[in-house]
Amino acid sequence: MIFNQFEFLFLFLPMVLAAFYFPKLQSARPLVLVVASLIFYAVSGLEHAITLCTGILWVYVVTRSDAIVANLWRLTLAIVPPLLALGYYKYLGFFLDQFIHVGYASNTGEFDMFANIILPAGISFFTFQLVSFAIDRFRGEITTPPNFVKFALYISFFPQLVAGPILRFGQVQSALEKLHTFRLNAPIASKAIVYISVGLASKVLIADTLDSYQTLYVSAPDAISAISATFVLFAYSFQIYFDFYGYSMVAIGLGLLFGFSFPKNFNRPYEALNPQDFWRRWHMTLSFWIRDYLYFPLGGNKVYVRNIIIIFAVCGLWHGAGWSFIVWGLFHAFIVILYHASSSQWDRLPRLFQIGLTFLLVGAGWTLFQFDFETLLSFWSSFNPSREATIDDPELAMWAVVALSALICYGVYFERLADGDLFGKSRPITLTATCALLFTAVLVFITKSSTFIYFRF
Amino acid sequence: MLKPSLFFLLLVIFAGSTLVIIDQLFDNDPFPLAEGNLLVNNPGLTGPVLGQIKRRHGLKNKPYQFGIFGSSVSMMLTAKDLDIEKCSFFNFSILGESLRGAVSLISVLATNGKLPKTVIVGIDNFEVHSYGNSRTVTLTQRISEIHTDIMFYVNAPNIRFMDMLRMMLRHVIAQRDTLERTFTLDTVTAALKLTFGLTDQHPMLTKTGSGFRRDGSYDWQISPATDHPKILRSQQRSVIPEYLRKDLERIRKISKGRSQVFIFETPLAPNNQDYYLETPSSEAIQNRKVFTDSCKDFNLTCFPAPPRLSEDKNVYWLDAVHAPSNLLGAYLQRSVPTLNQACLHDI
Repeated sequence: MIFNQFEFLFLFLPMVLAAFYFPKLQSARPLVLVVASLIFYAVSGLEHAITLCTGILWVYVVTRSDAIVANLWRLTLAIVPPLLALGYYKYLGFFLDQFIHVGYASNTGEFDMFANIILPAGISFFTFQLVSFAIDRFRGEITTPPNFVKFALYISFFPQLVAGPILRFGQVQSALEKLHTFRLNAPIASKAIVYISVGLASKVLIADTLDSYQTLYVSAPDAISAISATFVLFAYSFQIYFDFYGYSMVAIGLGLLFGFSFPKNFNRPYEALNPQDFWRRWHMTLSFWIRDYLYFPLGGNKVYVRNIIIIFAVCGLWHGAGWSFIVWGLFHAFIVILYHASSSQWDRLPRLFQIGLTFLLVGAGWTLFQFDFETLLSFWSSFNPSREATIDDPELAMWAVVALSALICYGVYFERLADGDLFGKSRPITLTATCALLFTAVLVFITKSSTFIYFRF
Repeated sequence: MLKPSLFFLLLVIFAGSTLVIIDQLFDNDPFPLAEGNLLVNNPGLTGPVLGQIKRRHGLKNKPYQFGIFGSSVSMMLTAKDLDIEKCSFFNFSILGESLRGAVSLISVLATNGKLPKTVIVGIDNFEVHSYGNSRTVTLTQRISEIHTDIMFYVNAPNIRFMDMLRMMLRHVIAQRDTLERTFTLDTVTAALKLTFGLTDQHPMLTKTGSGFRRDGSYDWQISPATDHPKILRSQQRSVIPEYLRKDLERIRKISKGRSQVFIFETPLAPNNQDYYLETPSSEAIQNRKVFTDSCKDFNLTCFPAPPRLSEDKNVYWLDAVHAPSNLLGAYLQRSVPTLNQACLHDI
């Protein structure tokens, strides 16, 4: 089930809200949400729900006792099985194919048992949450572990289960404890509605429109011109942003409806002044997770270059099992190191130039998400003026949509909109009407909407 | 700060206004425009949209002498196929609709005095029947049908609670499907074109090309098959026998004193028909028995699927379920020899 579906908006969500706010179920609210989350997840496959439940149960049992504090063996015992599950579902096929040279979908029928492995949605996200919980217990940062239902809810809560934000237990501990007394008031409901409306609009109206414009060019990168390639570069950069940003906004909005205040996942990433700054603004919950649980333990800035290469390789691998993801991670490591080495010159560049350069570098990196190596070469060779293009360049209207996306990306502060600042506090009707209009437009476009890009990670 | 109650109010107003705009699309009857030419089937023309258009067509026009109801299997049938060219005829079949959808449409037409004098209902073969609820009814009618189905459970001692729940779930699915396939960008765009006079013909069914004919039938160009169609997988436990009986009873009640009704179970392609003749599923056997018994009880003229539609092996089927219309028409003529006299005097 995904947020941009009629079933979710008009069936699942109203039913969960009704059950959550049903007076007689007030004390059972955590359980209501756990059951709802498991139903939400099990719709995509029972096997995957079992994997999730097993992970939750395992980590809870191993970390429940205070004996885990500073006990490396117990920590290893807690985190290895979920990581093995992640490895099995996400990386085994790639590993067999690349390192043991066994095509796991080979005609010989060998290793057929691996041919049908389907990646459980969001496994990278909930595995990182399981690991972070175990490490926090190991470090003694979580002194009193929650009861099982609350822990299960922390890991499986449906708004953030499939694509984040990646939560630390400390970020939701207070909300979990106050869950049975939480009351939805007008300011919170208002904020939630804005987040959900804007998030859905970002995905359905902007990201999916940009996606449909690129289909032709992405399917035949050897037949496009430099202009079309530039279009794809810009369009995909904004598409992936509005896609993931939209998801995060909806997740935050849904969290608010149930008394949770999720951390921000984006802070205007395309306004980043340099690659390092970009990673402080893009998918912030992942960046901070990697910083706290990998970069600092590795020694942080003391061995800067080595550690940057390691964490970005891991970041690339986290996104997917494939060389293109690893190269994408290493590419980001390279530009971050490049910036680090040249920061004294870089920082003196005009601000607009810094933003533009960072955007172009990041955008160039996204092409590794879109193409495999073979087609990537074709795509980049379209910038060779001697190559002839057989597909027509994008129409003006398509460029206009990209320009509009840029305008919204740089010019509109959605978070301020949620707080009512953008239209001013004296104009609630304008804000309300805008959101209602956006939501109606979302409903009209929703059948054309596709799944979120980050679901496959 | 946003005002939540105002938001929901405005959302209802905006979405309602959009539905009113979409409604223009259903009110604009494209079928009389098909002067000899065939109508194009636009990709946005989904089952629920087509259903609404045909439903409005039936309600707007004088009652036809002859009407066909059913799914895509019977959607290709023309007056010529049935040798009833002298009769006023309209094919009310809608792609993807099951018997329940046909009953809903028949009920609406009958309530408004528009039910054809002679009605032929095609029920998809019991091996493949998908017993879903109508995707072309209005919300009010849906609520009424849900009420009917619940009351049927309350009053019928032999129906299981789980079967009633299954039926309710199917109503939810059908309603979601109706909404999802009606409330779309394609329908809104097409309706806006109509509303603002940007086109002089129906945006989804234009005057040229191939597709639907003036009589509501569909000109499906069957390309010769190179192989026999694959053997279909039987749809296990789709039909709920008690509701099937109830639906047949509804047809009887609606049509009594108004129309003559013939109900036929649609045949399968020869190889499939042969296969299921030898190894019918237990569900199909049971449902077919309920079908024939109920028809007898309610005095309806019904035809279970014949062993083999035609001995002519050179006639190609589009697939395992869609017979060429002339073949299906000939079968119906054989089944009801007096069919061509339908509009001369009542059978």
